[in-house]
Amino acid sequence: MWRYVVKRLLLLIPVVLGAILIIFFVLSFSKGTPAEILLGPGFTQEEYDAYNEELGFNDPFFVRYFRYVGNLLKGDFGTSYYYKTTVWSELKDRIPISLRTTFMALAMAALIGVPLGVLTAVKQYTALDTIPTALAMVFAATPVFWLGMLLMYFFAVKLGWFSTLSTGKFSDLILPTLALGLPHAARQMRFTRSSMLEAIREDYVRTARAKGCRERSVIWHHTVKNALLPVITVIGNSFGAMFGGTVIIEKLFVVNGIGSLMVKGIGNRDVPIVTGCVVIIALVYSFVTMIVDILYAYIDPRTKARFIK
Amino acid sequence: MKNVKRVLAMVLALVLCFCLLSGCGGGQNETTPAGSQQSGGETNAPAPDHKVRDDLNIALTDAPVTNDPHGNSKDMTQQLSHWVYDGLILVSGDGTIRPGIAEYKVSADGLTYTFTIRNGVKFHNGEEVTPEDVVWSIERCTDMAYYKNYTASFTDVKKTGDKEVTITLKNPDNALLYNLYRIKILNQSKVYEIEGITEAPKIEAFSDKTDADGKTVTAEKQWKEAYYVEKPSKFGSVAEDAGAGPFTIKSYDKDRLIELEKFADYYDTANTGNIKTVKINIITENSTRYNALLTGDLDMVQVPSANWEQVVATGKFNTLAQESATICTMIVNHYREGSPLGNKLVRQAIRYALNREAIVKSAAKGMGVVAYTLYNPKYIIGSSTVNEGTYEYNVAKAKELLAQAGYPDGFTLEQKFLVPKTGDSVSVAEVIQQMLKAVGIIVELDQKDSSTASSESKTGSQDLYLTNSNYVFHMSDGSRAMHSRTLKTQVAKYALLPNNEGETLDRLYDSAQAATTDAERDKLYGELNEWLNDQSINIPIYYHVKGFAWDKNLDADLSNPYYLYIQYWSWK
Repeated sequence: MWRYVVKRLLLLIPVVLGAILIIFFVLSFSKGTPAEILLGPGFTQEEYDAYNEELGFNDPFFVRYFRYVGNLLKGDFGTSYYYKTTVWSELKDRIPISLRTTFMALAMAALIGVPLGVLTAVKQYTALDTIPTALAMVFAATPVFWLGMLLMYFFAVKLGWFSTLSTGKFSDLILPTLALGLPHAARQMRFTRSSMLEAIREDYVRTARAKGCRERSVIWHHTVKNALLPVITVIGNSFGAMFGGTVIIEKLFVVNGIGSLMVKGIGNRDVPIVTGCVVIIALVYSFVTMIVDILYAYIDPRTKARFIK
Repeated sequence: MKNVKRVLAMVLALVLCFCLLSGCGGGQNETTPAGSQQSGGETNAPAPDHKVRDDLNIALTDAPVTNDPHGNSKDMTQQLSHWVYDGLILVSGDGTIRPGIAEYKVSADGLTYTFTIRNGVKFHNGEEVTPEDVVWSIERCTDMAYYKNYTASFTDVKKTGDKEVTITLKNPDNALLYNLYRIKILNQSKVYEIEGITEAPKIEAFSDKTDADGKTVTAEKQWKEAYYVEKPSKFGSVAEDAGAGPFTIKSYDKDRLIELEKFADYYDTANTGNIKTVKINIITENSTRYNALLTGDLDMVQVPSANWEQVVATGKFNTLAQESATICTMIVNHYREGSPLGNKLVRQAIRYALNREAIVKSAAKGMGVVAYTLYNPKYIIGSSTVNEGTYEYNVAKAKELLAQAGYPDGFTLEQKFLVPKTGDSVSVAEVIQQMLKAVGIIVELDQKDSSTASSESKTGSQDLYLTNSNYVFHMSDGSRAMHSRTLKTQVAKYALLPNNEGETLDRLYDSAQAATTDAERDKLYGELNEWLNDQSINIPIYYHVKGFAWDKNLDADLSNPYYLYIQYWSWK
């Protein structure tokens, strides 16, 4: 098992290097240089060129790429063109914020979506199936931004239960968590339901019933365990979508996470900032995927047997 | 079961209808007369035991890039600098210039400005402002990318007395005082320290020299450049107590919240309000700012145009629709070889084809005022001779000019109409596209994000370019954007006009900036505006109107269209 973990950790390296290469390529060949955007209009071409030179932007593509990778291996994410501070100083406070928002939304999505999915599958064709399924369709199709604005309007403006601004209290996290988590909860509910319905029709479930097992035992010990395997993968993928996609929630609820920093960096052609954000997102996402795979091994004895010889 | 399904289907249909309806809404906003103040209802007189507030919660639409007032020229950075730092010159809430840290005299020839620092002017750390700080702050700007243009006309800046600084100019510059307003005075000892001085050569190793621009570079300056380093700062890139402005920085989370406190020893006590603490929230999302105003989390916001009518209708806030210096213009590519746009008659025809009032009403949701000239004469060193009604909408006239130019049936532009995807720009461009089609000019839209559009616009790969520019009150900004010395990076590229016509622009700018009397300046800028109108390369469409709403108990002067001057605000 440890060999598998180490192997997965080593696989992170080409993933991150590949992500950096893509970002460098895209930003290098996009229209506009950092000097034009940061200085604004009204400067001579010589002044723009000199500023780009000062930023190191005029160096050849691969020179910049390998210089960045070399510095990254030493833990140096570079200096932001826009903020003139180190990229790490901009990232270090934002990473925990994005992680917290994402984990809370993910936890909420899993805690609502999975049990509901089990319930609707077990109570198929009843009201306990139809109503949650319908609601899940609505929330799954609801854009995150619109849901967030709606939640803010009703609960903050109309009811006054929450502040519209970030006040540092725990209650600030509730609306962003709901806005980000509800659509994912809906998707997870539908996926869990589908997986459960497949598992519930398997021969081993019929056998368990025929053997006289209690229905609760049939559902939780036999069906859910098998149905959960693909659901865990979906939850892991949801994390990636949430972590990289928190920018909308961050903008609406004034949360200073990594998403808003990356979008700002793209607009400013701030290559160090964007690359730093992508590195962090790639690392976190790869790490979470690895955790999911390891969980798989613990839940599914067949997968475990493959790793333990 | 069937009934359950039917009921469910109806519920779902209702929910979907609700979703659709809630997405609509926000009807046309009517433009309120610019500069007018609307109270929207009875003022509630404060109760006898009413406690007057001394805190203020406001929002900026974007984070300041840095707290260094010389480090960046973007609006939000400048806005913060006007609260925390003062310069030799101040601007009152209504935009008029007055002495700041120093009183000043101007020589008869307009080439020498003598500043005498007022008594008792202190930095936030308690140290008095000295002539050395003033000289150093101005010299610092000559090395900063954003500010070197403001000192371009300076020959020399030096201490000439215990409290006196003299600035000598190459030529008269009527924008100087406005430029000095932007140059904030910093406490040199709080920003820089000398590194390795025990090993470094003494100042005597350096001697005064003259640089390529004819400016004197003192030995002291060279020595400082060789050995001074910036001190690490608690906030941003400049020490939090290096300023002498009305507020000090209490906390600085630049992307979320900046807190200011009133500076107890501020010298300009006659002109400050009763605000003691300020929370500046950084909120980029329009709807969030608006919601925060409705809940009382913010005391004043710039209201998004889509919500303007709603906020006025609530009657709960003071409101003001203020004409701003931000202007929407369309720049015509006149220098593409073989292009019909190279013909001035065609460009003038385009101007007549645009119904700007209709554009403001429809595309800009009424939040605009038709512009007749690039430089709004109300807010900048413009000209009173601007002729309102210039190039009014006239389709017949447009077609007549096109026929004169040899295009009686119009033409199709080979290159596209570049539009940045910001604000109402796309809607405005779509309306313009239809208006041009009505006179036979066919053009395709090319929508890009603002950074890409800005970059592409300088390459000449488009025939038309819609832009929003902020021409602030000092002309150095305007001339930088159009003068031939910045030709390669311009969009309009007047210098490429045939027969050296572009030289007229340089001449008018340079002579207007050097004018020594208001009357002369007014006349020259009037000629400049007439020439720009005649060329019709940078076609003015409308000035943006900004809507502000604020708490009824807050006495806020919002007459200045550029920045908020919260130091003059008071709670009732």
